[in-house]
Amino acid sequence: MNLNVMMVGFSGTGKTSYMGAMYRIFNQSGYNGFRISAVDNDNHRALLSMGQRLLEGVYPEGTDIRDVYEFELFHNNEDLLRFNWMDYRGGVLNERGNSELRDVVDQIVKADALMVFVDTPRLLSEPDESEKLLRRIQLLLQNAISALKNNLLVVSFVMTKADCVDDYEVLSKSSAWQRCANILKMLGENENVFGVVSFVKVGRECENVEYPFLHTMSMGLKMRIEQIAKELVDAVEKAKRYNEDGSLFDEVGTFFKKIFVNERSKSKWDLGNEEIAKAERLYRKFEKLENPLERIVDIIKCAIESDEIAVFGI
Amino acid sequence: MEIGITMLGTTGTGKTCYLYAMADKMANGVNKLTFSPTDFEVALELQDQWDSICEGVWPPPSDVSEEYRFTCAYSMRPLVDFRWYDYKGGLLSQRGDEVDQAERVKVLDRMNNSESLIVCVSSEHLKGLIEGDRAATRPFRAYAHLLQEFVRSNGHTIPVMFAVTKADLISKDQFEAGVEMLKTRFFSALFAEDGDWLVGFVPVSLGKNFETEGGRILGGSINPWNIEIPVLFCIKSRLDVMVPELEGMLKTCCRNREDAGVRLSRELAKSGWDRFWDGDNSGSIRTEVESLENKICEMTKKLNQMRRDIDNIASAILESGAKIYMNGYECIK
Repeated sequence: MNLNVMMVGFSGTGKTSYMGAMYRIFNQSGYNGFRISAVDNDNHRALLSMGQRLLEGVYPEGTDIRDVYEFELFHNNEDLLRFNWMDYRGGVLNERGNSELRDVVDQIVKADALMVFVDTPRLLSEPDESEKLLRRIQLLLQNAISALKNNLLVVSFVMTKADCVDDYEVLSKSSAWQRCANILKMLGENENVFGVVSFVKVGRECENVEYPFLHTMSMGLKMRIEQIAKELVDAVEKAKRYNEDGSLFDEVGTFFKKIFVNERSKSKWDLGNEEIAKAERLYRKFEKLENPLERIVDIIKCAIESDEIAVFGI
Repeated sequence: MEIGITMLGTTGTGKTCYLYAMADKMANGVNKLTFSPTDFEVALELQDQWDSICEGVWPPPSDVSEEYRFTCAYSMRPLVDFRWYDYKGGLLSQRGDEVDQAERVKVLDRMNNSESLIVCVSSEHLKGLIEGDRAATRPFRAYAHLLQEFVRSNGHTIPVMFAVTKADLISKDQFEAGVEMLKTRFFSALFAEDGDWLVGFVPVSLGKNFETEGGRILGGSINPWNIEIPVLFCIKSRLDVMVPELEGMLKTCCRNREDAGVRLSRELAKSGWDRFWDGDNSGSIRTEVESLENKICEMTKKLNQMRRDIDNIASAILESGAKIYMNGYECIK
């Protein structure tokens, strides 16, 4: 099943631009061996073209329809996982009585990973409006977390247009930033949520674009690895139990059932061997995902040490 | 888990403003506790209504009844959901027409299906009561009657929090004098030693120094305080009941696990011939044991978390200056 990544943000926060820049970086040259590719060719061409125009300083028009992009993630040309990336019209989050809003909110609540886009310079230039929007983002996050039960949620805060902020000290004292920091603090204290905060720049030059994306992908890999590990442990336990419970009597009994009753039953030892074969297959899958995950963890660690990003949660 | 909360209050006691203020303040949270509507569109609507108050316009009296659903969370971790019912304040005091009678029945029905009540007492009425204004006693007599009706219909008591609204209009001494009068004159039954009533009083306010004219706020400072305490009281009272219930279920689960363990040992001790002849049930019993162990683990985790949540909520209530009584005695915590 694909990882579902949902962008959360109002109109003009730079969701679509980020997607274009991210695709250009990870599709054309790749980053530390990581590469992505859109499964649909039309999407691939559209995203590359958007990425190219960004290099020329041309930003995309606001998204006017909802779209789901399916991507594949590779590492050193080995396919790792597929993920869905959802874009939508940012203005819809401000509208009421709209079925499109319900759909978008529903997608946000069901997503495995959220990328929250915040217009950084607007926190200073329009603090009241920004606080209003942040309250709404908090409500959306609350709804998403309420639906989690025991699952995990990755939340990446992408502080966009970082190059347009003159004074970060003034920003850190603003009420809108305090609201943002409060949300991050509460997210950090929730044991089911983790993520990063990064100030990004998108355009002719890009900065820090790769970190929120890679962090999100690391969670996709972790979730896949955990799922495989659980199935692996389960298979090994079952194999152990079948082998312990198996006996000569059981083998003989099963043999007679097959011959006289024509029952397609299997002996405990047969079932045990099947579980062992399953465990071996799962272990190969596990190995394939482990190295790329370690690589991402190293990249994120270096970024934290050089103060390019901050993390919260685990 | 969902809790039903009904806020009782006559016209002008501030139920609707309370709802908007609570939705706004608790969206950001107090002591890491947040309330957020389960429906995002409803959240937008409540936010718009509160913004309207901040821009200087009091909402008109409610002319429709609506039910809202909220999630109470601690550090964004969901604790409990609660249902909140907002209705025309006049329904409780007026005789009204047929439509109002039908609506009144709905309110009473909602009240009977609630786990907690919040009674809105306007500080203006409380002041009137202290000053001997007979007209000021009318709402309190109505509330006392409703509570008696509740016990008659349901056969049990219900936690009640008296929220003294517009508390910026009275002093601390007036608040305490008013509480004493309510305890002795109208609600003495709620303070009987073996009455089994859990009752609280808390002052709440949207701010101070409001100057109002023709529905517009001309001056004053909007800064809601204690707005979350009545709901936290309701949530805590429900959690206090659920903890012993969960402890009982956990004990039963542990007993079942022990029994299953004994059965598994007996099954594994069977000889090969017995297993061939009688069949081997060890697999299914093992599955049963595992399932019970997982259940015990989950329930223990939930119980510990519930106890921590109760402590967090209790701290918040304690800090507010609210007065809480159980069987007529003031509770320390």
